[in-house]
Amino acid sequence: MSAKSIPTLGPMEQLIRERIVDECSPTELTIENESHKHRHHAAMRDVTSTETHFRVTVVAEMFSGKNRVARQRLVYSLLKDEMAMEGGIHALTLVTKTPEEYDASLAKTKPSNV
Amino acid sequence: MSVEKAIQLSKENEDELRKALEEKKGQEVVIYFWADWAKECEQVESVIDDLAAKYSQSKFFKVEAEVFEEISEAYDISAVPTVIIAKKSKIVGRVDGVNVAEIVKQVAAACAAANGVEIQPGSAASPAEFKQDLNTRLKGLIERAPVMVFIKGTAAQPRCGFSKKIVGMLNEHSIKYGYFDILTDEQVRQGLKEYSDWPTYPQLYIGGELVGGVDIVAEMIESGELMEMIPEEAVAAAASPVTN
Repeated sequence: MSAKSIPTLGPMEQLIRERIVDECSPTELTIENESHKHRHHAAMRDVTSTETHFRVTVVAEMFSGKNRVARQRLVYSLLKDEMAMEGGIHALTLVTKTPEEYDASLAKTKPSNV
Repeated sequence: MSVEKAIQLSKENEDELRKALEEKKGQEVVIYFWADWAKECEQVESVIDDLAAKYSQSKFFKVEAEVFEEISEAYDISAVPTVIIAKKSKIVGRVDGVNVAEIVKQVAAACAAANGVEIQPGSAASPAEFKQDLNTRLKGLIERAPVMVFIKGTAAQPRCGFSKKIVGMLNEHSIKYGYFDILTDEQVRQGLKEYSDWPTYPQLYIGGELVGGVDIVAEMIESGELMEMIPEEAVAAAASPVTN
């Protein structure tokens, strides 16, 4: 099993967590730091930050009624400055679901009994 | 004296382009590439007509890109509208997309002297005009194809994992699409983020509307929603199964 997240909780990750919790009141929030996967990419060459790429899964009731574009725009808007700055967030992979959608997706991936 | 017009290239007059380019006099040749399925070309066409009349000593050609494939390939035309400015067999200017201000500027720079027209200093567009021109350009780019994707790199050689993934998904589902490499144009790269209120690339548009980035597209493919949105003309015919 490959390591998916860097053990230390960096300042950027904390910031992402706080903002999303404040705005979305999520029932589930998972933040994975995938920066190490992109470390060698040309675009990252002069970047020393270890917090550049994140995969964020947000499950929140307030997403209901909003289409995917609207949900992601909302999350992006919370991190607008951090995404615009040099050495800030370079990429955000987002999964945005309502609690119902999340439960449904879990049910699909549940292993069936042999 | 008749007003000089831009010459629409045809099989009959094809040779005129070659002659114009090889003329020793070092005449300026402006070549405008277009396609009938790219409606935004109309705007550039009218600009080309105006310029042809203004700079009557220079030669202006209109070339239907898909009909004159060899010429398009020679100039590396991957999208329309594109305007090439040549002088003495050298390319001295190139404008991709509906960038009227840039076309006017580059044609003036190349042709003004020979036509006895003074280049007016400070005739650059005002900030409001520039913004309007940029928005027109972006809209034209977004609507360039029924399915249009803005990526880092080219479809054949994406330069980012997310762009590679989105192109892979489109190819996998036999979707016909146009692409734009945002690494080649900083103005589009930054301008489109603001225009569409979307901070990242890649970006997928269907029928001129933003669908989203790679995450959204992946979800929509899984749910079947994406294929429902793709217009019929953008789905390549399924390959017939090989029977042995």
